[in-house]
Amino acid sequence: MVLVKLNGVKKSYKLGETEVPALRGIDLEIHAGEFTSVIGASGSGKSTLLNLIGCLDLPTQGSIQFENKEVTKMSETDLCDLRNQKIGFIFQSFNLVPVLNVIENIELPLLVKNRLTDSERLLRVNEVVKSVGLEDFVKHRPDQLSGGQRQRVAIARALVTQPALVLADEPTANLDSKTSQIILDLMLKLNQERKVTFLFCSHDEKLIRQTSRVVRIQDGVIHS
Amino acid sequence: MTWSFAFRNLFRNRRRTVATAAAVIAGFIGLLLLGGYIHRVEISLRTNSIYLFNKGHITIFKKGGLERFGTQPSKYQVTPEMLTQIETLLEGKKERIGWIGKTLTGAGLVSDGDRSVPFFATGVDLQTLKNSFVNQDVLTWAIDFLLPGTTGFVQALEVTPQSISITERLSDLLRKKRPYNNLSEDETYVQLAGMTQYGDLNAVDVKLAVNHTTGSEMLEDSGLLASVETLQELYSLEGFHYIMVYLKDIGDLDQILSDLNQDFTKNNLPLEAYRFDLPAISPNYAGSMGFLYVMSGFFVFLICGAVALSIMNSLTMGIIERTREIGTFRAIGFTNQQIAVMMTQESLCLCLISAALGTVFSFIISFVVNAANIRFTPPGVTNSIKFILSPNLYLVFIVLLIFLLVVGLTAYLVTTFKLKTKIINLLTDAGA
Repeated sequence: MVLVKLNGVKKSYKLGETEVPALRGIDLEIHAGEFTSVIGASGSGKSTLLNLIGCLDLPTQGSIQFENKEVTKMSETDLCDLRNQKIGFIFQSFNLVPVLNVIENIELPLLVKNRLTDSERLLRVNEVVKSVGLEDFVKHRPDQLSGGQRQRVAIARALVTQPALVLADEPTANLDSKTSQIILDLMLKLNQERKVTFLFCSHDEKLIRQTSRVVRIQDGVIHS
Repeated sequence: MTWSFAFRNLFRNRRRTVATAAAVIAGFIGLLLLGGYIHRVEISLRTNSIYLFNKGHITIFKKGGLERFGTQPSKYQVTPEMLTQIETLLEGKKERIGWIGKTLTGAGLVSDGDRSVPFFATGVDLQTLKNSFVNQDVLTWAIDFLLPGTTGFVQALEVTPQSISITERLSDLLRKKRPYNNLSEDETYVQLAGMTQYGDLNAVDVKLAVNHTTGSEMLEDSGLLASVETLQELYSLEGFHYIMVYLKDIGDLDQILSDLNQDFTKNNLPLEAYRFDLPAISPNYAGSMGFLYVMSGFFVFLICGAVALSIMNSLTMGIIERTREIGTFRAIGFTNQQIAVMMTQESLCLCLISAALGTVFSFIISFVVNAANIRFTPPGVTNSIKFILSPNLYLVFIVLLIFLLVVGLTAYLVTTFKLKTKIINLLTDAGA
């Protein structure tokens, strides 16, 4: 089943008077349950691609469909709903809230709509805490955790809404190689066991080679 | 969790939180003490006007009497028959009414045989004097306008109905040494001369009993207090200038006033009732309060402006510092409005804590200032009055409400304006 479909997507940014093209016409399909990785050099457009798929930005031209719905025509409120319920984000620098503990950071996306009762929410949070192996750190604040543990919190936060797609933009860039491997293994395990669809972006060839599908991007164009 | 989150965020940048809180606390103290001062002045002037200036809560004149009694007293006097009708109309409300008083005013000359000095007299019934001098509000809030011996006027009237009280300055003009009980019996007698309603000159002998103050520089040279009967005799009048209605609870004022005026119309009575605080009835009260309200409005504007600027500054800095975090909130599905509410809660949290501290400081400052017994003489007032600050919980509530409104609105508008930035720019910390 096609989860995300991009057709002729172009994106350019204005840099003063100059128009800088970041994506020059991307056609891409991401299927449910896949673990897709995007690799490319710095400035190749991989982050721009993830941002567009994650509805954090809109393309200059082209169409992006998420579960057969055209996201470029959605209202801001609908985009917020889509990001909250269908997409999970894992950022390079974890982006955790420093004053909240692990549990509170993870439950944040569930508070947007507040559809669950307190006990249901806690059950959901505990489930993802267990799957990322942070049971012993639930009361810790981010500054009391290591880099790897922080990224696990970010992964748990991305998974807690049970999204259709998890976008990971260079999640291992701030981690050492050993921790990076542990994080990737965790994501691969979640993909296999829970059938979570991952779109993972990195410039680390060694990590990318372990994923089932690799998309290479260069100068805003997909090469393979 | 959002309130707890808001509270915890206050500890992120403690220095800035303390600086903002200090501005809010200072503003809160300023407004609360200003409110406390205005409250003290209002209640003092009100008490003075109602009880010591004998206006009552409601003042009833014969139609046109408010403006023309001075020139045509016989035509515009409230007659004893009218008084009876007023008493009948108020019979049904007697549980809400303290008492009904009578006043007659007039001018003339007071003479001791050697020299004559003009006076402006107020004749009041004994019950009004008795009740006013022991009224708790007078003793608490208007004691500065009650000279130590003035309350003795009631006993003097009971013994000698022709007793009068004059101001100390009028006494000086008459060269009468005080206190009068040191004078011989003959020396205490003076004569009041005035023009009767028929245009004849009349005189009555009266006895100097005590001194009082009018509280007003303009009236202090001529103030004379007598019984209403003494002035009726002097001016050959049977009636009164006006009738005062004293209420048990000032909260009943509007209702009883409205009922009275309706009853006057319904019963075809040529009477009209007024509130005590109208400029024509109590010019001192209305003028002073009008000035204070304008002045306080200006201060409220300044203080609220300063508090709003502090909040704007603090929030702008907070948003800049937390750009990426706000981007993350947006990315995981929070709307701009939800984030604005979160940031507003943070400011409201700070406001509540500052208000609590501001309240404590205000009460401490008030206690110290009141204990210091600072006295001052306001313009146009004869004697010095004690500077009293009287903040209360009602004022705290009002000021808190104003602050929550100012802070909440400022925070929400600033955040909403600042969050109009692309998520991508927030996440890459390109600045909100």
